[in-house]
Amino acid sequence: MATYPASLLPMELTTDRQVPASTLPMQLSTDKVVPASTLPMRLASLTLSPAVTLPMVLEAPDPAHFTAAGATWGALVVLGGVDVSASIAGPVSIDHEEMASGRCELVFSPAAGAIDPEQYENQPLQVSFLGLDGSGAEIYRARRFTGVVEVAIYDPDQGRMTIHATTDLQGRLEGMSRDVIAGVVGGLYSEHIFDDTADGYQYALDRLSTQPAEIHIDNYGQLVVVPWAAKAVADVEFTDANRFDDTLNFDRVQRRDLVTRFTVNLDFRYVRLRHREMNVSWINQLGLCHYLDNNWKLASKDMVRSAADGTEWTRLSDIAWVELPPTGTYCTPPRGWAGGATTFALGASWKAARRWAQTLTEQYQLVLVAPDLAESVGNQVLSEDYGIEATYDATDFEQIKDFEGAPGGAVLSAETQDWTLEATASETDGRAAMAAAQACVLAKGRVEILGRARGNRLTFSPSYRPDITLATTARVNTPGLVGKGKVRRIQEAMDPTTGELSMELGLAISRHGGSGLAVDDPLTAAPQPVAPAEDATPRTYTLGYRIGSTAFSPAEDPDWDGYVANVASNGALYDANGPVYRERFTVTMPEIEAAARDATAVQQAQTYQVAVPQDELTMSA
Amino acid sequence: MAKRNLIIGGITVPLHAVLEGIQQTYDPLQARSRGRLADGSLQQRTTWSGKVATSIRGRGVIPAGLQGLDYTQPLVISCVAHRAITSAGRVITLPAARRSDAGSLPYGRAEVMRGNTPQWVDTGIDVVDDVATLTEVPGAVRYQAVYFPEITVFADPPAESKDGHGTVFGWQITAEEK
Repeated sequence: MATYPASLLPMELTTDRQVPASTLPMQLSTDKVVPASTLPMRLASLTLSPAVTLPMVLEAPDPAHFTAAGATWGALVVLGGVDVSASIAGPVSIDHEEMASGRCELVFSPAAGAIDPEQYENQPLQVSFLGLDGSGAEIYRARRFTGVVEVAIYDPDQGRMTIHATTDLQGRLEGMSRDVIAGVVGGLYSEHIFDDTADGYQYALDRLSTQPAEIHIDNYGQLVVVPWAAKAVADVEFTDANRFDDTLNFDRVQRRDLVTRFTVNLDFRYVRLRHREMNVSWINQLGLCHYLDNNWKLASKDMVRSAADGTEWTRLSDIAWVELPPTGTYCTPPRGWAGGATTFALGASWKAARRWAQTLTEQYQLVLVAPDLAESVGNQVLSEDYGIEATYDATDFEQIKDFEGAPGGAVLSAETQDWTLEATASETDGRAAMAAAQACVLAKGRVEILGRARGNRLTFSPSYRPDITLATTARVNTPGLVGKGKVRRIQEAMDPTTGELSMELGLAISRHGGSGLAVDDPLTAAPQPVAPAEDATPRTYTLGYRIGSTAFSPAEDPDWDGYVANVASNGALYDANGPVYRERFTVTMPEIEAAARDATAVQQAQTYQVAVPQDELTMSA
Repeated sequence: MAKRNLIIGGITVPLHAVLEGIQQTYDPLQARSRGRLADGSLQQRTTWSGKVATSIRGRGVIPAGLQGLDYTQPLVISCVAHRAITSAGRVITLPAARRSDAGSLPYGRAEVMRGNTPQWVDTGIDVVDDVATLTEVPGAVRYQAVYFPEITVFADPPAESKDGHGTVFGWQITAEEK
């Protein structure tokens, strides 16, 4: 009987204290085959860990406080980790703007003692608005600026230190790696459209130029990318009840600053590798009998072979010979033939091929049109030119004669009857890179049109509220003007010495002024244009015989090809006065015609429609 | 006014320096701004409030003699002019900056109606920390707690004058709460 050293199943393992890991040494033994074994197990522990909690501070400005008719507030200014709120001696002004570093200026009275303005420079600065209740207790705080002190200036007569701080957008972006910038900013990029050697800041701006969005450092010091589009429902609405009178100002974008048509001329130059195959045939025009009668010198296979291989064309196939017949009696009248002339031939055929590289330039004309904008403004054109060359050194392709067939990947072109292979596979400047460059420049052009159309500026001074950021969409609803747009500039000032709070907002309003029927076309690269048609040239080449020393032999032409020989003096057609040719076998392959060799250009045009957003704006007397 | 003395920077102003009269004014100080919104409504925003500037003028037969104080440093002025808080209830919160010396302690009063005539009667007061609880007076319509401020100020040296006929010395001192 077998012994079972370990436990049998099923098992229940219970413990009254927590164990870090449990291991079960087990052996499962059975004397019949079972398809699968299951382990019913229960590990019970009597102590439970509670959920982890994170102490957090939620900053939520309370509208009931900042929209009230009377409210108490304070400013919290932390400079280099030290709270200097109590020594603020003037207004704290903050300026946030799209695509720019945020700025903050303030004045405070430093504590008595030695003054070193440099100790304040490069220090972090955080400015927050405090909502206080009547007795001065804090209800909420709202951060309005997080940045770094750039300059500290001391006024010895007044005993005041002026601080200029910035969020340093440019410095932050310059210090970021391209991967991180690509992740944060998004957008498209092509080294053929932009300067690949530019620093991080320019790289970010380049990527951003392909998106309808702006970048800035927000009030919490975070780098954010915010789309230009105003939200469908505004976050904040300003009426006469919460804005100050006589501060509403609307500046329309200048007509000449708008762009309604963005034209891109992009040339893509690449090498088209061509491979032409020719069937060469040396026709056995005269035949064995003519030879037997006239006894001209037979062409040796070696002669034919060396002539066939001595051209610019590469012989692809073996030479198929029209052999001389074996020993026997042939012709009429019958003649005997000794045979054995295996090193000679009466005719031959083979396939030859020639390779060359042709430069082709595809000229793309891509046009982005904003029809709505063009309706109201007319034609305002901006044009950019780009050229991409797919680098490929074709010398090897043209010089190396040692090949056996069409190049790998080549396609027999219907237009030219040649095998063609476009040398556009390079990752950096091949066709794929060119298509990506097209998509990139199309996106850039669209964003250029949209960016200029949102150049309308609506500025006004609302009652101060600390929840406005550059991501806010605001709507102004007054009897004279109703408008909605994204906030693009916030200028605010808090003066704890006088209690004064002021804020000026600038909204960007995108208008096209047209009928609004335009629809965005997808901005994909234009299709490849069809290769230029070429007149067909023959793909078979025939060689013949030229026999001299006969009465009807023409004068010798040094350009003849094929087999040139003379009738022997004992031949039937021999004429002593006939021209004596220099005996030779020549293969003169046809030249590749100019249309197939010369650099050619082919055009492709594509138009794309761009829809410009129309933000709400109505003005009335 | 004989009950209490004006003390500036630890120096008690002599009674004879205020024999002809003493006058003290309080001007409240606050940081508040008002702006009129486009719909005509007024909006007020305040940071700090509750400070006071004071101006004290006296006339007496001798000069007040306040020249020797160090006006470059803060001074404590124990004021002689009353300030009061009226309330419907008996519990009134007093500001912490008040005099607590004998003769200048806070006191309370209550208004009762005698027929149709309002009349103020004195009532007891019990101050714990800064909360004053006035003794209940039956039939009282409202209560008032009176106190004398004791403020830390930056003061300006006094302006002094003398009238030619007789010996009347006038002086005036202005100060702002620190």
